[in-house]
Amino acid sequence: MTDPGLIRNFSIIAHIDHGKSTLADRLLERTGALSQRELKEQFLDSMDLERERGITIKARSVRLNYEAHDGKSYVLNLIDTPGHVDFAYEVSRSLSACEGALLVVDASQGVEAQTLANVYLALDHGLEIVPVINKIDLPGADIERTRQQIEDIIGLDGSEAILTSAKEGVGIEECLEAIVARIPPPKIGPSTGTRALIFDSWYDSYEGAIGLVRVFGGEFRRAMKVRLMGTGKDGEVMRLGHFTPHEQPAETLGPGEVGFIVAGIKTVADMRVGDTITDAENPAAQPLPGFKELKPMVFAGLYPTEANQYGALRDAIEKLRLNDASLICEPETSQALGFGFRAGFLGLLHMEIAQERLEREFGINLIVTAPTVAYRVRTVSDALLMVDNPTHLPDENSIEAIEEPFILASIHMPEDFLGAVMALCEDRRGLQRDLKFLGQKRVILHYELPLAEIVFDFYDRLKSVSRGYASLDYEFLDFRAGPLVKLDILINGEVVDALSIIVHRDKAYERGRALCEKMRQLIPRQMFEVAIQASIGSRIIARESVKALRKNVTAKCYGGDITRKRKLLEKQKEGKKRMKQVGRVEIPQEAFLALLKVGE
Amino acid sequence: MAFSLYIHIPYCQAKCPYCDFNSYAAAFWPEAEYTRALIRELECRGDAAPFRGERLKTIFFGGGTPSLFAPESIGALLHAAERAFGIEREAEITLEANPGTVDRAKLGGFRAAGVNRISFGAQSFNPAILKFLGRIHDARQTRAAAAMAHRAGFERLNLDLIFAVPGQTLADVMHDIESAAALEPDHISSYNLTFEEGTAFFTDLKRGRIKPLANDEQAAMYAAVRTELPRRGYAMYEISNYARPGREARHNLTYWRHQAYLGIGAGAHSFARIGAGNRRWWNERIPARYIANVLESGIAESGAEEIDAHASMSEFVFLNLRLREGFAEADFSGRFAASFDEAFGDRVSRLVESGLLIRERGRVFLSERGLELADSVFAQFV
Repeated sequence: MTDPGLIRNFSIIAHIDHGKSTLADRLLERTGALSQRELKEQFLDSMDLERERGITIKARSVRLNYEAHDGKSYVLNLIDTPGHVDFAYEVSRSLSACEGALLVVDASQGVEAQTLANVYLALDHGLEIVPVINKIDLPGADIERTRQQIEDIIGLDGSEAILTSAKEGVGIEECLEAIVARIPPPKIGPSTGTRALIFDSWYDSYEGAIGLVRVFGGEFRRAMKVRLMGTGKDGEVMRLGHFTPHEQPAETLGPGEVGFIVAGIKTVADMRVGDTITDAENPAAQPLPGFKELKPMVFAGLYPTEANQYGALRDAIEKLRLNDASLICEPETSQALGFGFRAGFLGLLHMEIAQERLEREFGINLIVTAPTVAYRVRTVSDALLMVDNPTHLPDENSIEAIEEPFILASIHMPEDFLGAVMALCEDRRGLQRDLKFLGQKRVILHYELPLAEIVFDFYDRLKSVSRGYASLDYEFLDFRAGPLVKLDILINGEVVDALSIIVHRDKAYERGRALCEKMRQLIPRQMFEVAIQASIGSRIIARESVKALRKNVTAKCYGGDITRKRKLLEKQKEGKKRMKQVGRVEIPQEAFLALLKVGE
Repeated sequence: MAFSLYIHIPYCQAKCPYCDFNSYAAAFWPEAEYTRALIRELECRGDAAPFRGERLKTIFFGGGTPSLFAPESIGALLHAAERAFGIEREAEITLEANPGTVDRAKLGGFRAAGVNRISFGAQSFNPAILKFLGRIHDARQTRAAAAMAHRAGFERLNLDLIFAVPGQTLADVMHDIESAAALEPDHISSYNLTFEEGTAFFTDLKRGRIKPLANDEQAAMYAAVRTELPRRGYAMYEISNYARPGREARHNLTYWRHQAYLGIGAGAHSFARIGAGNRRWWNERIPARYIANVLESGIAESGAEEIDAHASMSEFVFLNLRLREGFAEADFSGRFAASFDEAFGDRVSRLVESGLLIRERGRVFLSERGLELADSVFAQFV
């Protein structure tokens, strides 16, 4: 067990491309955690998908041993955090496990948005922030201006920033010394019992759920009986240890330490991020604060492009859920698409990641339908129904009111962007609640907004109108009745249920026109004309058509061409498998998500 | 059963930017050596299954530019073919020629050597289009070549035309048809220009330097060709081929009827029934390697595929459907273990309902609309 006074728990906050992963690699290298040879580029982002998108989805931790200039040996736990609003909760749990953070700012780019959102979050959690100005070797580096920005935009003392070039290995020692000197050790207060915070968990096919934890009090040992205070599950510690980043088994995890625990808990749904793990025989009186069960915000249908893939899809979703407690799934059927599932996600990014993993890791050709929020419908007989699939909206005559979820959005930004951000919120049917100037030209804006307006492209639009400087956080408020209508899309006169959406009446025409237009672009020309219509009830509000394909014939086919020709035809047929036959019309996968592409 | 022989001559004076055949621009070519290699391969194939003892019904010299070779070389090859297999008395023997590479003496020589059908790559009669297509000849040379071919005793003459060239108008296409028919060939091939991977045009297209005509425009040109050539006595018998009665290219019918052929020369493909199955194989593509391999071991096979029953049925259908007359369902069931309905019934009825395929009096063939969308139809059979 390590003396808590010699432990430092920290995370790294950085804008994408500002060098977080390179700096982390250098810290690992300098402390001998990894040899040069082992340093696969960007060790932290180990999932392929993460590396491709340059984002961190799941948290990670690495324990570093560092002999400081004061002659003492410290244990530095680097806790990595995800970086997207869909995963804001995971970020907050990771930050709760730390006492401090390095804020990495690119010397040539200056302070940027993603940074701000997480800096505010870190400040909220009372973390000590150590600014690091990175990439000082670049020709465009402007260290003084960056220091000034750190003071003006964030309100930290820019003169105390550490100067580094992670690429060149400059300033790494100074970083490590600053972590030791400036970030406080874990506070071990009066005993509140044996408690550890789970800030990440994942599924292993041999061991079940593995939790990544930060111990706040007491000590966890092998063979100890433990309890998860939120889910109420009991287990027995089978294995515990650290990541260095290689797995190192340990006998105990003591106060202030970070490590993993395997406790015979079967699924991640029973070992949830944010939950508190305690000694089952002598449980803590109170769990650590902040645990909440994540509720899905966005719902969409998942269907196999080929009906015979249904079983494979079901198995794949089950496997995915072992590792993703926030993904929920129920079987459903669609007239157009057949058997599939209705799935709930934290947000669009979460949805896209699930889709990509199902396609890539499980090899399933998938159709994802237009995402929607869950509406509450009050019927004339005064019943309340939750509707997360527009097709299931009851008949118009039996509806008293349709209520949609509203959220309270908190948007942080430099005041220069206030006008643009307010215009965006107004356009999205927002109601301003208040506006606070925080000094240093920073503003925090609170808006009540329909969730439906947020989940689609609000975050991207916000980033775009604020040149990336605005940050968004939101919480659920209530359900509010509004003039909402169901918009149907008809292909060659037939309603395609999987394409129906619920929209605000004032936006229905615009949305219908944009959808038809987008569908026209996405549906390839076929052997006959394809009519695309948008309707509300029996009223057609928009129409487009895809003209029939006039000509599609290979001019030459002689002795040497036949094998190649046959292979081309086979390939063409493979391509068709990625289309869904609805009636006589072949609709490509992307067309079912046309709603999301309307702005492109 | 009699079969067809294809002989590939891979050399050209210039490589056309749309051409994806196995051909190489060269200032000099090893004519004697290459001819020796072809003869060696013929001897070797004549001595082995599956063609030993079978006679030749058609021979086709394709390229490349076979007319670059001397009549003596062509003659030597025909002698070798006669020794190896025997050539039927009525055999069709075609040679592809570039109008810019022939003169009276040469055409006379080819005729005397036994060639009885000439195919000229006319492509167009419009100088701007010929230039765009990178052709080394002009319209005047095409006219002269056709006249010389007639005088040299070639009763059978084909002209190749290309339409849907960027910049080409419907009027240009009509003018080409007019000009070609005026030269009185007995056969005209009219090809829609395509942009094949590996060609200069393909690269130009990718980089946005050229733009293909709109699909609708191409369709209109194809419709014009299908109307205008028959009006001048050239009946359409295949997707891109038109002939006077009885003057269809018998050699090419072998391919479309899914019958056996032997290809010799660099990169040439062959197809034959072997035992119960079908097999297709092909030669080394690079001429120098082809020559070296053949001179060492008599053959230069570089690849092969066994075509299973399903793929055979697919090929039979999509090749035969290229023909205007399609095929007889009895021929299908005679050839395979299943009837056409058993093999493809569900898809056939859909295509018939969509008006793309016609089933009449025991035959299956494409409708006019089906012709225009032939690839979409064919895709239903793989």
